[in-house]
Amino acid sequence: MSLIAQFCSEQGARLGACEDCGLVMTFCMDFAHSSQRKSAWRRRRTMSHTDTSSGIQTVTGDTFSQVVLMGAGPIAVEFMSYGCSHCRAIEPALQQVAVILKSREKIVRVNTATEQGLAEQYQIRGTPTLVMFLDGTIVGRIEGPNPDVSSVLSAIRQPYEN
Amino acid sequence: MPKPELTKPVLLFDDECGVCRKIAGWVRPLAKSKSGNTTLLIRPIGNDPEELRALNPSLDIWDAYATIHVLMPNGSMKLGGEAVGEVFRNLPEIRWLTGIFSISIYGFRPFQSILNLAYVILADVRPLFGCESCGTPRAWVRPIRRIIQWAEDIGGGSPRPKPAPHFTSLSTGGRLASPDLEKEST
Repeated sequence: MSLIAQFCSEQGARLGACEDCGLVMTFCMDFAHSSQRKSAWRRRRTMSHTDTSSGIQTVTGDTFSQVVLMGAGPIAVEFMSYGCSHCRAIEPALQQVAVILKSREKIVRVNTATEQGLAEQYQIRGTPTLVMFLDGTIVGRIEGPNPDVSSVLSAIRQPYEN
Repeated sequence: MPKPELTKPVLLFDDECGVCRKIAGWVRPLAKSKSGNTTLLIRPIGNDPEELRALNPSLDIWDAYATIHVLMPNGSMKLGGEAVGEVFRNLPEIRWLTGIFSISIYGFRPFQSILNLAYVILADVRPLFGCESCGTPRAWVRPIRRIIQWAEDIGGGSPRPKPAPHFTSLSTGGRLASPDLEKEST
């Protein structure tokens, strides 16, 4: 069962059929996106942003090497800034994707406003930029993905599927 | 981190938005009384969620950037137009004016409602006046911005590159905040 289908099936009987065909699965994602965006937003409001329970850990220049470069497996790094409205827009989707991928991939964030050294090192031109690492090596990056679950999920998954 | 005790209302502003910085610059001198006391603390939101949560445990940094917040010494928060009204109430020179915001007609506060609406409109049109970090303007503002850009291009400016739709360039929105310069001791 694909990750998307697994996610959809967790949402209840109505979405359970999505594992059978891609068409329904697309519908499932759209449905999940529209109906759960608000609930994800509400859920996000209760979460701590430095709390790893949301699946997104904040890393700094001091911890980046240990968490990302020496980390095993796929790790997606979101270079963001709290004052960036596009980062705010993508946040609920990213939180949902973090929950979907929790057991397979790690998502961490770097605040470019405070970690300018890291931003320069990874040639970040703006926010949000997602850089995908596999065993400490960059395998992909995307700038400003559409702020919906399916776009963010495919942006993060694609480099690892190639 | 020890919880700082707020003795005065604290206005938080978006330091990555040029319009907000300018408004904060206007408000700061007005918040000083003739004796030199400051009636309202004005500080940028900054980049540390924990630091904000220390000021008020229910304050989320994303929410702080989404709308204007005034933190009250009693632990409550005022948002949007209510926060603007609270700022007015704490500016000695225009405090006399703010009584109208409390006028209530069968529970409806007409002047406060006008202020709420004015805040919403101002927040929406910020991208027209140089808010680098505001991102994509709301749908009703986009045609106005297009007209302004078109007029600027006609007026001799070189056609500007179309920005990526969901991307804030680091040279504008992602600049390093400087809380030490503007943060006032609480």
